[in-house]
Amino acid sequence: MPSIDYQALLDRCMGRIELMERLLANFQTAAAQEIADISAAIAELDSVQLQTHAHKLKGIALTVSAPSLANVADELCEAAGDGNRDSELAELFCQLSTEFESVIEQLEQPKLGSAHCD
Amino acid sequence: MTSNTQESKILVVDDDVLCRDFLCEILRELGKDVVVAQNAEEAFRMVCDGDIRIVISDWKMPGMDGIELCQKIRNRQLGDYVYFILLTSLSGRENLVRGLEAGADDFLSKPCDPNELQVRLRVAERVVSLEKKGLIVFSLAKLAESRDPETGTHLERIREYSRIIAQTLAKHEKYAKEIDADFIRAIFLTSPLHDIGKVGIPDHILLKPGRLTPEEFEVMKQHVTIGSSTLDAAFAACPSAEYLRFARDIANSHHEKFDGSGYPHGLSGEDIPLCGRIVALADVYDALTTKRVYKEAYSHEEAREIIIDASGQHFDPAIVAAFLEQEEKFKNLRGRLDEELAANVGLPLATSFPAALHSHCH
Repeated sequence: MPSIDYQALLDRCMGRIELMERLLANFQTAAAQEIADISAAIAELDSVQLQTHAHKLKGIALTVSAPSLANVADELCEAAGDGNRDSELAELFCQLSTEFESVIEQLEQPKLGSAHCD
Repeated sequence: MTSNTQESKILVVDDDVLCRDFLCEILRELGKDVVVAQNAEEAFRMVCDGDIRIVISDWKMPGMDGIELCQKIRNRQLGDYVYFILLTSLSGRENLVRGLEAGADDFLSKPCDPNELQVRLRVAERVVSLEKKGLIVFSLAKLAESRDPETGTHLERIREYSRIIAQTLAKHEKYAKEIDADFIRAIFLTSPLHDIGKVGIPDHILLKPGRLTPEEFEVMKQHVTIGSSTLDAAFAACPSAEYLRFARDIANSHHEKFDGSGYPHGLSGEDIPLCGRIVALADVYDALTTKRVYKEAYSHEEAREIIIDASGQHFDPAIVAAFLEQEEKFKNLRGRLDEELAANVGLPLATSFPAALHSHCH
């Protein structure tokens, strides 16, 4: 499964390629910040901040049709709210980072503007 | 004047820039009029201050969240109904129930689909259009006035005068808490109902061209209690319609006088509801400056002197001061309203309008 479902995203952007590309550009900055905040929250053992930022990352990942990233963010959010899953946080964060890297790789592919139209 | 086909302004509330901007772009692409708030506190201020009837709000936000925003909007007593859509990536029946219990009308899941958004907004528009209480209230008031051919744009002027005074008082610290945007909207909406009790007054008294006898005046005075008990009954039947309580207070107290010599209860000073004290001055000013079969219209200057002389006796001095502060607006209002109405109905100005209204209603 591709990290970003371009067709679904373009459909939700009502066919507006420039809107889609603007969203994706903003997404990279916003998601990177959320991941940094998640990392800090894990380091500080701050479950409230962790939930907040993981939930936010889920939201923006869904907005740009990055379902795998959204799923991991959701899992991390749930784990943060469950006091018995602290041991999973580090692993989930690794998955999150890996998935985000996949998203960035896909965004850096050539023909970003046209590949989804096929 | 808002037409029935005019769509409502939509307020988008989301602390996340990306999600907020995306939703706004889609809504504008759908031809919607959109405004944004970055947080729930800002959103609530905008709802209270403006004419927003549809809100699409994120659930999870720092500070006040979407649920709390919804509850706060629902707890407004005098405001118009706001259709509230919760936008969330939260799932599960429990969250759905929680949102509905808070008063949300609908949910949208992230990521938002434009087609789904469009159809849900059509539902929102249908619901909002059902609640055109401004039109209903004014129509009732116009009907009550229709037996008197001389009133013309009396109701339009009363609500404008009342709003002007309320807006002026709102700037003073003493009234800042009581007179908010909802109060101002409520007085504009319900002041036309001040004389709704006149429907219960016989024609030979209501339409008598000359001065009333003392006995006839006692009958005429009953319009206050007829109006207020009618509105009271309506409010009792629909306690959530807080604007009806406001209307009842106006109907019940607009003939009270600041020194206690008014009717029906002889209330004095600030025991008279503020809305009644405001409408009292608006009503008398309009009566003085309107031609009747038994008198010519007084000039603004003549009416002004009468009102100043009655400050502290008939009228609350603070309200007289507000009137004096806005004299120019009062002076210009009648001409402006008559022009607007003539433009709407295609009639010549002033004198023909009351006759046209009379013939329309009989």
